[in-house]
Amino acid sequence: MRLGQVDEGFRPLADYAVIGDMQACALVSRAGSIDWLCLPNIADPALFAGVLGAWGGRFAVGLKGKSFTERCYIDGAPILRTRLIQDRGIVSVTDFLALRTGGVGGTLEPERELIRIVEAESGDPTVDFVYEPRPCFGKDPHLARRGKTSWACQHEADLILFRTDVADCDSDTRQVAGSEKLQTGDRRYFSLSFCRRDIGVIPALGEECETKRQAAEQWWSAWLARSNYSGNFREPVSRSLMALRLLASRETGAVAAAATSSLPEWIGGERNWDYRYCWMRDAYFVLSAFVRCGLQDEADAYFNWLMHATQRDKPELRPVYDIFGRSDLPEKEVSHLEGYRNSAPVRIGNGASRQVQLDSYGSVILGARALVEEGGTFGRSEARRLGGFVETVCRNWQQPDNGIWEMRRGRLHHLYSKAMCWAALDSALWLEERDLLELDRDKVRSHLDTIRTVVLEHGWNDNRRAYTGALDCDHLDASVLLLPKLGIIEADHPRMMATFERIDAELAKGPFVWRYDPDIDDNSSPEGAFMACNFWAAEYLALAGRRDEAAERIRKLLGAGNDLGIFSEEYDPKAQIMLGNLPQGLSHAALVHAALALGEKDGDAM
Amino acid sequence: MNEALQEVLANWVTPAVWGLVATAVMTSILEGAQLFGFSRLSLPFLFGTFVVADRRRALIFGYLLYLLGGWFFAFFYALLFASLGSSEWWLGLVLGMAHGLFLIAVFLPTLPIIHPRMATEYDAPSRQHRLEPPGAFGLHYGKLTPLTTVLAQAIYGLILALAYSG
Repeated sequence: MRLGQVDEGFRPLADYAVIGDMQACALVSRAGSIDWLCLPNIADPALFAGVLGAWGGRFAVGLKGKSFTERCYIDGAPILRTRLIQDRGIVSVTDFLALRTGGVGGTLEPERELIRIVEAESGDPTVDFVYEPRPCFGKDPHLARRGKTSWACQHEADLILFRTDVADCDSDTRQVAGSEKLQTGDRRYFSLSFCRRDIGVIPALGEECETKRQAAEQWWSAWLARSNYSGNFREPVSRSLMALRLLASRETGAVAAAATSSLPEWIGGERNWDYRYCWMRDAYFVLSAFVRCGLQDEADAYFNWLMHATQRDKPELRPVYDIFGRSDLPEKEVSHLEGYRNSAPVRIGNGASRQVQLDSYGSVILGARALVEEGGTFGRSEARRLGGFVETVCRNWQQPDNGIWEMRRGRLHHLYSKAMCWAALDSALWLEERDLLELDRDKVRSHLDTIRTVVLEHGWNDNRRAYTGALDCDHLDASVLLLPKLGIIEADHPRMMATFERIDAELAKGPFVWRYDPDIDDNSSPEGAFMACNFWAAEYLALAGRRDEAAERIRKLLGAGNDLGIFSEEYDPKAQIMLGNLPQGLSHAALVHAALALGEKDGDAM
Repeated sequence: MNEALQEVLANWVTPAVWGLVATAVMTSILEGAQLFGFSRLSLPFLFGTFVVADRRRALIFGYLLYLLGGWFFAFFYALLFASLGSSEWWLGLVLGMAHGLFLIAVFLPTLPIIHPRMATEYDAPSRQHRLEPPGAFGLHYGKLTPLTTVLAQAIYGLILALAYSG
């Protein structure tokens, strides 16, 4: 059995590009290996999870012998072109997930389809490939040959059909591998189609793959043209919006926090969480990023999902749901995968679904306000739902919670949660003034004033000369950098300026900001600087009028993403490596907000 | 035969109503088998894709065609019961099983030849011929496909026999 000439070890996370069809996302390494793909949706079991362990499965295409790699997204769309260059020739590999057209032209389409097009640009290079599917995070695939060029992998109700026109292929029950010497201009195709509980569709090769590539390019080009951001950070903002769009389900409108699970927040550490679900805490940041960049459809769909998903828990909110609104996400460990660079355990599901996070209410109601501020609206049933959330905030804001960082040691009176409760009531009153909500105004106003006093008085610590992470505590927390953005205090207020300086001195190294003092968390594993906090600090500077510093920070932070502008959750500036799940929606949304904060001051955005 | 036909025509309400019921139960068993992951076979989908390529429209057309087929076979079963002069429950069960066996042993393997959108085991799929062929006994659609298909058809025959004898 031949194997593709690819690096068998773990690759840096910066090596991974993301491609997707707004339902599934794949990670493609710089070497041309697809090491992550969950089907049919982001939070479904992985077919390829090689990024988490050797037995996780992969689909690698590469050149025989050493090669140098260049890559880019074609016209800014999530269609990846990787050029593999060596003395014998140059090969380009174009990877994308096809977008469905609904059977136009009389052609049946599979539920999902991954296409890889290999072209010899020059010379006579020999292309190798290896296809190792491992359904459900590493189960034995039982590959069976179907006809001359197809292989079927059936797992429970799933069918994965693989086809290629590479001439020389070997296969057994676990893998298909092949090799072919190409001449300049030769093209070879790989197509992988997926169906669940349905009769499969055999993927086509050749011209039809080209047609699908063109269709995907056209769709994404039209979509990217809808963004109206025109500030100084167009390319990173555009890439961030693309990443957010990939995480937004075309089917339900839900936006997942990231496309992956268990990529560690520290190499060898235990902070390896499943982020393929939808966090309420992200709602405001993501929805607002969409709507403020002119992507009203995505914002509407997301808001509708928020209202739909939270129906069963009304008038309360769970911190996290899956894209279909299920909040019971039991956390399990996958023992047969060793984890990225032995960062065990690999987890599926997320225990945070049982936590209390009061900031969620602020996030959802702020999201509704952002929607309305940009010309959107909502109906009576949504108004009743939001009104229920307001009641819950009035009833529960004095309770401790697990906070935005989901600490598992117990509940505290987190300052950010209290401030978000204030923002929830403030936004509710704003919506009520526009006749969109019906509220007991006096009651809400009374709570609003009390929360503000509590946050600004009990959140301030005279010894630390800063607003701290929780009431009457002394630990620092970077989430308080958002207080001016929420409107509870001015960015240039002396106490806020002092807080920034303290955080910058104690939680930051250059532009990189850690979430909180490490000793307040009972998880002994260290972690990297938190990308969202990095951009929040830049946004704070912009709001405080320190625009040049803010712009400089953003420029430096762009280096913490990979060559394609994809950001993970965290970054280790010392080792210069990306950490955590990717692409991380909150990181990208925070980038967009920071850029917008600069643009708004300049008047050169929107 | 003429007498049997006259008897069926005189009692047309029974196969018309119970044909609908039996078809609904049979469809529920087959769809249930799909939902629980026992089999990926969907006869309505296969019928619908005779007409259109779009999955959603294919399913709607397919259910209509399947219903018409269910009614047609209800009259055919009624004719058989009348001809044999018996409609014992076991006879309906046997007829249904035979019908199911015919489907998986003859109809499904023949589909790649007659279905306008189904690929064959021998030729590369074309733009038009893309549906996964069922393989012997429909096993490509899952190991339990023969069992669920025969079971659904047997229940269909049983319901019609019970209705007719009642």
